[in-house]
Amino acid sequence: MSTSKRNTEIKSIDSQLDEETLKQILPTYFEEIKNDANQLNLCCKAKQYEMGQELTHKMKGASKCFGFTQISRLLAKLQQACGNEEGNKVKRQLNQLSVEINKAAQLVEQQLGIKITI
Amino acid sequence: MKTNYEKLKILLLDDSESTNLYHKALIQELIPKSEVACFESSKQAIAYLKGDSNKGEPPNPDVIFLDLQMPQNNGFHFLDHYSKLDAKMTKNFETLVVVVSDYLDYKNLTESKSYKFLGILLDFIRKPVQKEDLINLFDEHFKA
Repeated sequence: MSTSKRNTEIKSIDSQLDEETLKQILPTYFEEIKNDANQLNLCCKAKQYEMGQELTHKMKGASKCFGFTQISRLLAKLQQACGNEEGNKVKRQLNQLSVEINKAAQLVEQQLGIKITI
Repeated sequence: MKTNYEKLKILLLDDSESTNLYHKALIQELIPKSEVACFESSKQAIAYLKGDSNKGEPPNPDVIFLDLQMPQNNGFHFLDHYSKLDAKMTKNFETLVVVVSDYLDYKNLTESKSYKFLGILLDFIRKPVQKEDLINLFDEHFKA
C-alpha cells in the first residue's frame, strides 16, 4: 500500500466519548453532514461561496469532535477554496468529501455495529 | 474523570446539532446530574433565557457555551441580546459565558472581550472541547 493511499484511510474512530454514547450520537452526525454536504453542493452550484464557507466551518467543527480528521482536513481545504471562489477546486473536493464520508460511515458500521444511512 | 460539583445548569448554543450532543455527552460524563439544554440558534436560546418555554420563569443557567461562528445570527448577535436582558434572566450577569471556537483571530477575540465591559462574565475554550479543558474551566469558576 502506498503512503498516499494509507494517508487517506481512516484507521479507527478517535473520540473522547465511549462506545455506547457514540452509538447514540453518530447517526445524528452522519444525518447532519449528509444534509449539509447536499446544501453545500447546491450553494457551490449557485456560486454562493460565502454560505459555502459557513457550512464548511460548521461541518469541520462537528467532524473534529468525533475524530474524523480526514474529513475535517478536507473541509478546511474546501472552506479555503470557497473563500477564494475557486469553483473547479470546490467541485473536485466535494467529490472527495463524499468518498471520505462514505469511508467514515463504513468504519463506524464495522466498529460499532450500527447502520448508517448515507 | 469527574468533577467535584454535584450539579450545574448549562446552555449549549452551536449551529450543529451533533456538536451540541457531543458537548452535552462530555459534560454529563463529568457532571452526571447537570441539566443541559441545547439550541442551534441564538434566537431560540434568548427565548429560552427569557423563560418562554417555562411559563415565563427564567431558567438561569450557570454556564452558557457559545459558538461564535454561526450563519445568520452569530455569537455576537447572541451577546448583544443577552447583554440587554433583565438581571433576573441573567442571574445579574453571574452566568459564565464561555466562547467556544476552533479559531479565535484578533478581531473576534477583541470583540468578544468588549462584552466584559458590559458586565458579562466571559471565558474562552478551544474547539473541539477536551475533557481536561472542561475540568480546568469548571474548577476555575465553580470549585468551592
